[in-house]
Amino acid sequence: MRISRRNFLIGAAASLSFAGWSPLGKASSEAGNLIVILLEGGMDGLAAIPPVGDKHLKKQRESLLSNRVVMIDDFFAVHSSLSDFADMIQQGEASVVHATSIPYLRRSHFEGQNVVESGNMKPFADKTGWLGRALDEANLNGRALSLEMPLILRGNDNVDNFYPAHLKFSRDPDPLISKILAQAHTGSTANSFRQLAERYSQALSPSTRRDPIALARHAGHEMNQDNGPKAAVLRVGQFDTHANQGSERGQHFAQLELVNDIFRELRSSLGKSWNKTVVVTLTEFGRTVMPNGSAGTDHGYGTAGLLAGGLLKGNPVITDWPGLQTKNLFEERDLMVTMDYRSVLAACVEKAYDVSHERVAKNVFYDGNIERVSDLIFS
Amino acid sequence: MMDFSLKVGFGASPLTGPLTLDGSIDQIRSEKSQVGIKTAKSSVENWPQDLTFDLQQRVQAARDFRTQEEEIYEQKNLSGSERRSKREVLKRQANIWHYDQLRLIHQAIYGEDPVRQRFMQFWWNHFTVGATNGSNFYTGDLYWNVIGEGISGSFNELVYAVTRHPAMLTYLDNIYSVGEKSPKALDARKNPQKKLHVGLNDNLARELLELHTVTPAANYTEADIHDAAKILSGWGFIFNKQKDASWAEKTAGKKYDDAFIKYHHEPGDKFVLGKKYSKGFSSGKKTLKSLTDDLSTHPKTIDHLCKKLCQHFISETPSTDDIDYVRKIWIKSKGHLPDIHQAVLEKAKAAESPGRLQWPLTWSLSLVRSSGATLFPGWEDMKSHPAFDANGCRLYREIGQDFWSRRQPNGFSSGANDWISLEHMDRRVRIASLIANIGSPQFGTEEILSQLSHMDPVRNLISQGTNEIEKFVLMACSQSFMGYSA
Repeated sequence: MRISRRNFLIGAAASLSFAGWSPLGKASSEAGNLIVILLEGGMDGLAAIPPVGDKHLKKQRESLLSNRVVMIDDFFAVHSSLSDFADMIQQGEASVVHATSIPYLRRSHFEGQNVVESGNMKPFADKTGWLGRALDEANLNGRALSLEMPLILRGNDNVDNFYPAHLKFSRDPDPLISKILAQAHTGSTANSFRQLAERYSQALSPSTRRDPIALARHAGHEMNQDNGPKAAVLRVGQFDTHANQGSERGQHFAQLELVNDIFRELRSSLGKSWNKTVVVTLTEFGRTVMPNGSAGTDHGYGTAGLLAGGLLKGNPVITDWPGLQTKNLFEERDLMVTMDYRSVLAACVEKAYDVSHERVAKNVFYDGNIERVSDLIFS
Repeated sequence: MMDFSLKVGFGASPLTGPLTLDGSIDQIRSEKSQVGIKTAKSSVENWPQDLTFDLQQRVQAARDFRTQEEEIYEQKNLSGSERRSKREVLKRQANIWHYDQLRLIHQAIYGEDPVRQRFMQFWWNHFTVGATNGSNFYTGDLYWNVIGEGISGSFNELVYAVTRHPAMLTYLDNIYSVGEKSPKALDARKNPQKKLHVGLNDNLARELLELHTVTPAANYTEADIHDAAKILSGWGFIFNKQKDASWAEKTAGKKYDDAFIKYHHEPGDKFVLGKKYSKGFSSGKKTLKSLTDDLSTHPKTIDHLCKKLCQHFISETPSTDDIDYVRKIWIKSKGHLPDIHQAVLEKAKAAESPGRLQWPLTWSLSLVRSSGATLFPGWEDMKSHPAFDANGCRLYREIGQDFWSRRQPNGFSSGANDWISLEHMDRRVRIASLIANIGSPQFGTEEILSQLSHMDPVRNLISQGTNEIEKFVLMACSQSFMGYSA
């Protein structure tokens, strides 16, 4: 369903009547799951979800277009590298939000990544991340599937990470040693050593695989446990295709294929918990509408967000499409943004963790003016 | 308080003694020989000539690699995971950079100039080159030949040398950039049947401004980046793929250290940060030096780098006095790096700061060097057992600090929070016990601690260990040895 701006505003107004603040947090086993897939480098929304019904698409970027697409309505298609995701849309378990972005305009990866993870629109102003603050607000646990603790999850002690070591001849850390270190350390290393002691005091998951699919599987299984984490963060890099982006194949689509495989793996490993889950992608910006001189694209603005999970209403595409004619582009080069992606993220937090939109907007994104769009995305 | 040898070097062992300020300054002002070990059991020797690769060898190896990589992408019947695993196999076979990886470790553990190496690694990280388009083959050349020599000179010369280096030109796509009014663009219009690619690629221009020099604090615009990209057009085509129709003709006789061709260069005036670059068409090559000189001496560049140096070598939150002192020397010496590095060392020696949580790389090399362990193979071991590279050099990947990995151009952060997590502390404990268990340390914890200052809290901590291996792990993972995070 494509929505007009008018419908969009009606939806936002109607939502106000549901606004309310519940002082009692839900028991953590009742809370839903929110999984974020960070797409690093700037994902090209027009390549992933081409608006084939827009007659200017071909005029602007013919050399980047593929014929191998799956139509999801009369206007938008899904690139063939996302075939399982397309199936999920057809089954009403996935949605695309298009012509969207975080309102960050300077086209720097590092400022942009900092802003999308921190949720603070001033680059490098925050040491905590929006998902970390959301977990704090709902008093829930989260887990990163990476060696480092990504900024997006920082901001409380209830997050840990999983990325098993592949160090030959090394032994699992002795929990007693980790406990001694936890007591001797001050600051956040103390918390990490405490978590390490706990990890190795318990029976361990038998798999030490850490390729992206195995990590997705780990996340799905853990979140399907009664006291499992309620947030997970996965990272897929290398979307910054300034050269040789490809149309059917190539770097950009190899990465989208990986995202597709992660969605598929999450759905199967989450089991029954898929029904109370939303998975959402997040990238720092889109890419230029026109190709550059090296068959690639440069840093842009508007892009697409991919959402999947049983919590979704199942609208295939949610957008107020701005059009691709040059005069309709942002600075005459990038896809215009008609929906603030923070609204989408806020809706995910509201739905998964049952925290009111007002609290999410104010305490998680520091901006009470973020529009509420939950009713467009979730049932 | 953090020990000086840990702060600015790779620790101290009873063999070499602690670092002094004067000794450290000597190191940054003179070049030392490059060393390694032939086998895990042998003594230290000069790094062998046949494992020192010149640019010619690196260019050839990169070309072969890219051809094979493309063949994998073009095999239509492969699934995504099959393609990924075939690519992994190809990467394991590419041995030039595996020797570079080993050489970096050897030099840190056995070299006489750890302080100089720490500054080299700082700048190597500042001018990050990740693995893209075969740039991994050039990364070692950037480290030893450009940065290794460049840190004896001025910052503006270093920026110019790094910007023109195949590692950077390749990694940030400048090899593809073609001016829209360049001779090639005219050629393409006249001869459409040649199907020539034309168009600017702004990737290197953007990072040159944003990361390497002035930073967004200089309030540059998209137009500034676009014009900087015009100035950079023409540099690096020689490192592009040979299958481009004009490649052989236009690069014939060109040298790899002089990678400019006029055929790709955008003629005409350019404007960057309010300055006009009007050297014009015929001397387009010289414009880059003017641009990098101007960017390197910009006040925002100096502000940014003085702070970055202090954060890396003194404390995560350095005092304004320390930053101002380094800035004063920077301006007075006109960006002369040995003077600037000396200023940083003086302040690192004097600073009553808790230091900072050291990079896992710095920490693990310090632990091996200080304990006299032999955790890594010699170069002959690697020749006879190719599997060795997967042991020795896997360390970089395990700790999240692989300089040869696909990664973003902002490099590794000096901020503690980027290196603190359950899994990061897991790696620290594992590596410490690995060194204690199979690295045969020559020195016990008491001997190692005797070379380091401010270690009383560590002596209390290791008293809780029940044997020497536990004491070693507790020492290695103590706040004083890792650097403070609080």
